[in-house]
Amino acid sequence: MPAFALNSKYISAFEQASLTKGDTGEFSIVSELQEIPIRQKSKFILMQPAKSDFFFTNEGIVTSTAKIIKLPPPQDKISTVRNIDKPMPKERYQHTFGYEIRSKLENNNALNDLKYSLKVVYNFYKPETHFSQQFRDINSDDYKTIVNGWIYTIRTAFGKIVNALPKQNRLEFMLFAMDEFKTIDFVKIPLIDGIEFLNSYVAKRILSRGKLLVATDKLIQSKLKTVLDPKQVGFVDEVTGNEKSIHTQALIFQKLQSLESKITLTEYLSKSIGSNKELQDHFDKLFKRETWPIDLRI
Amino acid sequence: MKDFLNYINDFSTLLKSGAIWHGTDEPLAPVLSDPDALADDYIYEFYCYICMVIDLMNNYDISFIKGTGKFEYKFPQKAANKKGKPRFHASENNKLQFQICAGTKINCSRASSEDNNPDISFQKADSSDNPNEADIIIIMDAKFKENPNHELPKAEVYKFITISHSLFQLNAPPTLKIKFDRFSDMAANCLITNGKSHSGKKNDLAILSLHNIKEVEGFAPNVKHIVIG
Repeated sequence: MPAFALNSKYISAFEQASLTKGDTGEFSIVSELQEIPIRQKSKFILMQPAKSDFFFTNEGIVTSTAKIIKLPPPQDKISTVRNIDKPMPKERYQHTFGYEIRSKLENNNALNDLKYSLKVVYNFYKPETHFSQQFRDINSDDYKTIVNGWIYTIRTAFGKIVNALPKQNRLEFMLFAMDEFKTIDFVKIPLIDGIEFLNSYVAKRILSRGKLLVATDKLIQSKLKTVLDPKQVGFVDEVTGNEKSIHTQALIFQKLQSLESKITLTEYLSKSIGSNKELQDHFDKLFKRETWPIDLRI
Repeated sequence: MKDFLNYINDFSTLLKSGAIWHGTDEPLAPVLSDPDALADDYIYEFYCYICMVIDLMNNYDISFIKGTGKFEYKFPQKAANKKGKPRFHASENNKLQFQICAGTKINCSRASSEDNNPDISFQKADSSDNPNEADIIIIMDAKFKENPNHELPKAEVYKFITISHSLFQLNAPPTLKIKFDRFSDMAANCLITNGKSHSGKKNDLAILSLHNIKEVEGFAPNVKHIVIG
């Protein structure tokens, strides 16, 4: 029996709804299709858009077969097509189903946290585009991942870090990686090797400069602030006219350093992988044919 | 797992904002550039400059000379004309002794078209807004190594010799002794790096002394530097 993701943004019954286990009701999907693949006993996951992310909120089951009503084409569309002499809009069908909520999802349920653990997602900057319709089918592996809030640790760490880099650095990193691993087919290169190479790239290219900025800012603050305002010091690129503040940039790297002073990313990563090895092995198999999750388009 | 997610989310968010200069779309680190652009890193050059200025505060009264416009408190990223750019002045008993300039173009009479300008120049008190080699007391160049175990290539040393010895003819002891404190052995024409020097390992100092230059290795935060030559 196929499973579905239902986007509550487009399904009025679920809009604004805060549902818990045992809640029942009806929901409708309006489509030009006379038949849609949702059946009685189909499982579904509800998605809700929030301010900065999408959340998987509930797991449920369809409790009835569809009641189908034919709807007339929307009036506004009819008037538009008459004006521009286009074919009449198609008729639409309202499919109404009964549902029962099986559980409320609260554990690792943000799309941005789950995106590197779901096979259906490949647009990592806008993962919500994969769910931007009323309903879509979800394979059973992704379904289990969402319901259990499972995270593919190494792919999540790799993806979040590499896609946080500016485009220029992402491209450069991939060129270096092609040279390092002597291939353009990264399916064959385990992510564990990839992330080690990525970490060393980030440390050398970016964090090393961050360290210098933090040190320079500290020196200016402790020794030079009587002669110049530390917040104003920086660089100007004469070609672009861009102004760069050392203090503002140093503050960011200071936070990064204090994050890493408690535990480094590498240490945390190996600790995390070690603590749920079975699950990570499951994901390794599941993503065996997938390449590195790096988005080079934007 | 939630903790790890929070960590990686914080890490990647900070990395994302740190890797681009705030308020611009310019990457912090140079990319796909030739090795020269990587070594001529203005962030490292400025770190060295500030270290020099602060060290001199122990022996001089240091004052900041504002630039103009955007350059009031901000320094040029690449070598630029001196006029309108900020710099520091070092004085003793209310008398200006010398100027400490970052990335100033030097109008060299021997090869004016040469784009060979020192990262740091110590210029005479009366040096004008259009300085030439006669205004220079000593110069320093800074070379950044992403891997601090990497050695300065021979070509870098020879390039510095060309600028310091051949173009600016800084062949004799400096016309004015610059009184550094902790960096007292750096009161010379120095090629500074956070990595390893070219000459140190070979213990071949003849080329350095012949051309009146020094190499400084391991010049970085929380590292003890070594002066060679």
